[in-house]
Amino acid sequence: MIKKQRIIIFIWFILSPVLLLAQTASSDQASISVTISKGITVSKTSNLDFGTVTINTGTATVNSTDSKAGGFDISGSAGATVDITLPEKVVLSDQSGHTVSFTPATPIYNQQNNQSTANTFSSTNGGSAQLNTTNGELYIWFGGSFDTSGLNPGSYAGVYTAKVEYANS
Amino acid sequence: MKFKFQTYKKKFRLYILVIICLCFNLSITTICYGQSNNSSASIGIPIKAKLVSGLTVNKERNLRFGTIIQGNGKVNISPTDVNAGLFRIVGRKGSEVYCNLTPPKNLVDGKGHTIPFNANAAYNNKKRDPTTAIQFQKASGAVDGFDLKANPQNNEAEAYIWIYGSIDVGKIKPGDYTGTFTLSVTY
Repeated sequence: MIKKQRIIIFIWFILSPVLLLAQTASSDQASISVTISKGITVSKTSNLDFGTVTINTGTATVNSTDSKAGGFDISGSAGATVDITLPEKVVLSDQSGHTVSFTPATPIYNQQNNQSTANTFSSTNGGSAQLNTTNGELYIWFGGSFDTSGLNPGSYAGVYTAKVEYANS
Repeated sequence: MKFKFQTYKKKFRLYILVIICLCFNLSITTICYGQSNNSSASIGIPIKAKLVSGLTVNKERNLRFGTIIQGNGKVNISPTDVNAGLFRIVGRKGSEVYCNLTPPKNLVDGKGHTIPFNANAAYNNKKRDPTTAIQFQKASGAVDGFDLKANPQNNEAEAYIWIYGSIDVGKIKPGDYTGTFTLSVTY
C-alpha cells in the first residue's frame, strides 16, 4: 500500500508542472524566425605577377584592370553586402633578405567575372559591395606598383591578404 | 509489485541518463557551431616580381676607314682591326640578349654623294677578344641571341659586338663620308 502511494506521489511530482501550466488559462503565440546565411568563402582567381622587371627603370606598375592583376572571388548569400578589407602596403622579399615595398592600387569589383566592366572601390583598403543577387558571387581584382630604384636582382614575393565579412554581421 | 517498481526505477534512471546525454551532446554541438564563424573569411594572394639588372649598350669605338685615296678600290676593316667599331653590352648574367642591327646602306657626304657600305658584325659574350668573336649570320635586322656571361677579366656580365665591313672607293667625289650603325639590345 505504501509502495502504491509512493508511485502515485512520484507520478504527481512528474506531472505537477504540467498540471500547473494547465491551470493558467491565458495563452498567446510568438513567432520565431531565423535567417540562415550562406557562409562566406573566398578563393584566389589569379596571382599578381609583375613578370620580369628591370631595375632602375622607374616605377613598375600593374593596374587593377590589367591581365596581370591579382584577383579573388567571394561567394556568399545572394544579394548580401560584404565588407572587404585590403592591405595598404605589402612587403615583397627575396631569399637573401632584400625587400621591396609594394603599394596596392585601388581595387575593382564586379558581380560578374568581367574585369573590363568592374567598378572601382573608393579606397585602396577596399570597402563594401553587394554580392550577385542571383548566385552570390563577387569578383575582385587588384594591381599595384613599386619603385625599382636601387633594388637588388632576384625573385621577390609577398602576400596580399584580403578579409571579407558580411556587413553588420 | 516490488519487482515491477524496481523495473520502472531502472527504466526511469535509464531515461534520465539518455536525456542527460542528449542535453550534453546538444550543448557541445551548439558550442562548436558557435565557434565556426564563417560570416567572414580571408585569403592571401601571392604577389610575384622577378627583378633583373638593366641592360645597357654603349659605343666604345667608332668604325673608321680613315683616309682613302679616290679610286683605291675595295677597303676592308676586319673585327680585329683597331679601327673596327665596338659596342659593349652589360646586363644580367645568364640572361639571353637579343640584338637588332641597323647599319647604314651608304656613307654620305651630305652633298648628295654616297659610298655603299657592306656591313658585318660579330660578338663575343665571354671576353673582349675580337679574335674569338662569332660573326653574326647577317649584319642587319634581328640576329641570333646569346647569353651574357661573366667576363673573367672583370666579373661583369657583358658582351662585345664589333662592327666592321667594307666600302668600294671608286671614282667617288672627295669629301667626308659618314653613316650611323645602330645597335638595339633587349632581353
